[in-house]
Amino acid sequence: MQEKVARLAAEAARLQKGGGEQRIAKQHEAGKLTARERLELLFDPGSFTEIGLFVKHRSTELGMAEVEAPGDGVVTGYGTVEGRTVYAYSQDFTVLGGSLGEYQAQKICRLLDMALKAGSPVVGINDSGGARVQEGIDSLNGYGEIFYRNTQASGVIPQLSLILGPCAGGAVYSPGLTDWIFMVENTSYMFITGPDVIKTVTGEEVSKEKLGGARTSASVSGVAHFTAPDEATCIAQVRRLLSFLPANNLDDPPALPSAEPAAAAADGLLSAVPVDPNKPYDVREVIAGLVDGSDFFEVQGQYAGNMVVGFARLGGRPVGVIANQARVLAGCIDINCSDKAARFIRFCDAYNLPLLTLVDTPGYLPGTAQEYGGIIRHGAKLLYAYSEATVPKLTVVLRKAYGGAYLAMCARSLGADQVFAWPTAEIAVMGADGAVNIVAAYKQAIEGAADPAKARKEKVAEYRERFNNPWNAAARQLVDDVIDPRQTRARLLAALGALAGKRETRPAKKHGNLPV
Amino acid sequence: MVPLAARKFNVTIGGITYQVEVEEVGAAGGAPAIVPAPVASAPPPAPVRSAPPAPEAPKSAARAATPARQEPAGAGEVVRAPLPGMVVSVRVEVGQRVKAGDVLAVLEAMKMENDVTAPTAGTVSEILVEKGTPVSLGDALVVIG
Repeated sequence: MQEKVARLAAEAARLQKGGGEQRIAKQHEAGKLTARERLELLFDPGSFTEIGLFVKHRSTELGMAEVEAPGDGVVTGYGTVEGRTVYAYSQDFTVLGGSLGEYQAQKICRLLDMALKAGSPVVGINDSGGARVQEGIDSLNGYGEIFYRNTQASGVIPQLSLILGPCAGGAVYSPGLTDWIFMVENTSYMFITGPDVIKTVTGEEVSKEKLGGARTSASVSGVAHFTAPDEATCIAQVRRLLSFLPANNLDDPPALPSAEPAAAAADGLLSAVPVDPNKPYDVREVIAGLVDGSDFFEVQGQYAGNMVVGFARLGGRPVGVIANQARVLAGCIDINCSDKAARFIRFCDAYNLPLLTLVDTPGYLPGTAQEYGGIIRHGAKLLYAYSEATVPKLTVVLRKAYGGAYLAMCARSLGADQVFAWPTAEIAVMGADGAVNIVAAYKQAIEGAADPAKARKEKVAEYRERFNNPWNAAARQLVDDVIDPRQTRARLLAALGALAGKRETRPAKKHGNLPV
Repeated sequence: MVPLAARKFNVTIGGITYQVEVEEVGAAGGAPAIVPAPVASAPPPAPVRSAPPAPEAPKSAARAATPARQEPAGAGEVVRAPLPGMVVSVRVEVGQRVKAGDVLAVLEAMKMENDVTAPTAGTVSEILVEKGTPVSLGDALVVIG
């Protein structure tokens, strides 16, 4: 037996070298870690167990019979992250360029099946040249099997995708179907058709980086949710994200001890939002003043800056935060931020994270670009997401909340459980200037006046006084209370406590028809 | 555009020249305003003909005609206006080092001051606008080298 065990150990050690020392060196020279090094960084030390090391391809086409592919180019297994079980697969670029063959796909599918049964999150590390051409239709079919499982698992177990190398062609759809995409500058590339094909078909010239690098994916296409300067930082971000999430949809997010926000941030709440509604500010300062330890993990920070979304904790309990950012596009709601927020809201709802919405928006962004782009379809997503969500929903109106945009930011009618308004809140159909142009009585008064400019100013002030405030909404209990900004955190904690056991049902249906 | 109290025009129609006085009513050009541009109508010319067309006053535009913005001369990351508006302040100087997220300029649009921030770290190499410049969506504002 000793001899057999020794032979086994030697064989395992050999296969664990993947494509061999030379290719490992090449990977490092490119500034990239190997598949196994990445898993080392991801998992708690010594907790990762690899399975499927001895899997072999069975392809014989185009010379494949002579080709050995250790582990068929992917490392699969499970371990713990901060003591909680996580499943992972990591494509091995040193083995046939990490290309996906029939058995690589099978290993990944087997892992996804297991994770789904176990109810634990999956982390997929993508670093692959794409389909293994020699395996033809088997390789293609392999992708389909993965996509199908990504979809079945969606909303049941969190799925995170790291793009730590090329990810092109159909391969992009696995990450595209998962919940979160992480990229690294100068390492990650993600696109369906690459620069060469684009040049041939449309004549456009564009570099890999410009087309689908980390920066483009994060700020232009909104495909990447997180970017990092290097792989170690990226993997640290993954660990951080996992700390906010439950293992599966039937679990509650893990609670930590509560932590007060930084004193400066909390004290700054009284002055964080300017009383003059034209003045900008960074809503992240408000968030910092409210959440545990002022710790806010922003999502898609480089995309659709007119809304800020991300994870935080209140009283130790993870929550999802959605806030208008008034200093960008005047805080108007547009296509991109509607998409960004709606997806985030639905993720939080799927995984039992309460929603905290901070409101300061004057309306939707005007313009033909928005209209032709389908702001109606995209904006509808936001309304749908909030209405559909059954997690506790808390809304704080900081300043402007006009018209449809007020509704879209989780108003009472969309099922907000508690709505608080700051004294600066202006909950109204529209701003005073706009209203004065439309309301017939005002128009007549201005036109008939001796000094129309002065009359206009008076009417604007009158409207502002009468309507641009929180009191009308409070009178109808569309707002539960108007509060001192310094009381906001306390009120949120009390509300969350009171709503801890919230359960809400929806009419039975196969699934709704989400506007897309 | 300089607002004037009244302007006189000689208009020749059908061989007859009329002198027409036109009075501008409404806001001066330059500030974006929601009030639609008022069109001053001309008083009827002296010999009354069957509906001689009244010349339209030069429209006192609610938004001043924006001259075509320059494109940057040198290389670097061009930071463009994310929405149409007016530059109310430029916060940096040529040669200044900036970090990603630093405010480069402030645009007034939709009754709000909008911060235009640096997308990356670098040195400001060109500034193409100044306080008071009206800009359209996509106009180049600042170049970071």
